[in-house]
Amino acid sequence: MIDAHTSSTQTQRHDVHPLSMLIITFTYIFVVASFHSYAFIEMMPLSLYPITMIVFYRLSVRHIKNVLLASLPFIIVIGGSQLFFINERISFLHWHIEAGWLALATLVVKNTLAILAATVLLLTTPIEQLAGALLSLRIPRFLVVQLLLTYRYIFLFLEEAKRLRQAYMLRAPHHRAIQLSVWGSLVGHLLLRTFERAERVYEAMTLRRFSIQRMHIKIKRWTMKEMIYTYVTVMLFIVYRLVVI
Amino acid sequence: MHMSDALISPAVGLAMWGVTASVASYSLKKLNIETDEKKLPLMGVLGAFVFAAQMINFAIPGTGSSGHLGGGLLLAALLGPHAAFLTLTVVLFIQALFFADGGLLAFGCNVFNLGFYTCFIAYPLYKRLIRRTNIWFASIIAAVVGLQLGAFSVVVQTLLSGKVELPFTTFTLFMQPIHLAIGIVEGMATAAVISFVIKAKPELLTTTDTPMNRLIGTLGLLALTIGGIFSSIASSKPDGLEWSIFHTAGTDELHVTTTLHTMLERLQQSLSLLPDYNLKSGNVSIGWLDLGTSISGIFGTFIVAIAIMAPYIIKKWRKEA
Repeated sequence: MIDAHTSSTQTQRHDVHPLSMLIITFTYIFVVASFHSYAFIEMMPLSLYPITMIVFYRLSVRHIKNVLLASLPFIIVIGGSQLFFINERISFLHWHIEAGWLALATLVVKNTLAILAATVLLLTTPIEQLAGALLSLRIPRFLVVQLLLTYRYIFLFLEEAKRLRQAYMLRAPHHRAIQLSVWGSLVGHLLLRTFERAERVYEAMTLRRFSIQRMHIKIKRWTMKEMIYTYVTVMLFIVYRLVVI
Repeated sequence: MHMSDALISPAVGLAMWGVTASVASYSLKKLNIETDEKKLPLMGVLGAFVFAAQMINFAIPGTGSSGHLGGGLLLAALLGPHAAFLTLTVVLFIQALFFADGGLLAFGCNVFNLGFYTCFIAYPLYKRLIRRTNIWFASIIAAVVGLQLGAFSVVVQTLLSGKVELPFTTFTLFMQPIHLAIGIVEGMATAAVISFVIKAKPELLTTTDTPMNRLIGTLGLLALTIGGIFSSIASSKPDGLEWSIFHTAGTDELHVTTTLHTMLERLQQSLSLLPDYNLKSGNVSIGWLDLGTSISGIFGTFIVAIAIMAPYIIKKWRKEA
């Protein structure tokens, strides 16, 4: 779904301050989540924010589509249950419709908007800058360094897991999945290699006199322009929410 | 079991962020990273390992379907509960942000449901069980307990948020059996990897224990939450005894007939602090929270806790004397 460079490629689109992006995204999701179960129409204007960001920063529509599709099955199952549990009709625009359908549609829109906002944050903010923003929000340095380390190794390990699975499937073409007895030792070997890798990483870090406190994480300066931009955007969301009850 | 932002209200989301931040802060303090800096790369790399291990599906015996490792219990067995909780926090953050698996507002709920129960309830249980039974039994029971508690929390958090219309019983009956099956699969997968590690490199498995008083504290907090908050949303239908009395006598409470009964009833009414699980002054509600029932729940929890702890406290006091 994502590759190692999704959030770290330096292009012109990475000019939004990471702290601004973080605050705006959280406020946006907070506002979206606060709407009631039938606020289908009321939430529509909120789609302007992610759409504007996607168009303005020319974000990857393919990636966004993949993320959205992955999240749909769960929300459709939960939303679909509303058709059975809500047995009333509701007036929607000029029609009287089943309230369950409106609740389902609202849930899908809510989910789509929340995921779009999170994806816009991911695609406009490199992980290193996001780490800097988390530090300026007083998130413990230990957790931030751990986030960077985990993110760094995910792609290496995913590649390794893919190779492991492929190697097994080539040797056992009629198996749809790995047998549990074999799986234990396959994943166990991956785990042992993980520990060896952690040892090597630790030694390399020690040799370079690494310490959590000394690790350089760049915290971008928050300029007045960016502060005003954040304030105005956040206020727009809040005022809209207060006006549309 | 990852919750999405669409299902929860801001109040529940923020409250769970607060709870998760407190547990993370406690875990950071307990970890003492200054003296054990080696754990940092290990935690980072093991977090990435969990992602990779989830990619490799295995066949579930006798079903024709496949499952994958969740990883929480395995992380706790390898790193100890505090480091495992922090690693899971980071893993879930990456899943929410990069894989849209669970939302950012729901992040606190997800860490609590998947991390807290696994590391601080399931893992100590696993440690106790493994002394008496084998790895497979201990892993399956611990994973099932962790996932059942997590699934029940999902039900409670969703219903407290009020964003979807789902009857408590139906939702619980839907979630718990599914997660029973998932728990068994998770336990089997964890046991398979731990069995391999025990044969290949047993020193990798941690010996960190969760102190018993912490465990009691956690369970006490859970009991208070259930007694204080969830008692308000408990069923208003009569209990089994009241139901049978109603069907035999036509009323759910028998009325007194003799002088002795009347005297005893008066005495009970004057002594009872919270008659019928409610305040003497009558029913007071704040929103959906029934104050009388909640206070009765908390009071009852304290009384039961004191009754259970009393023999131990007296024994300890006599030993010290």
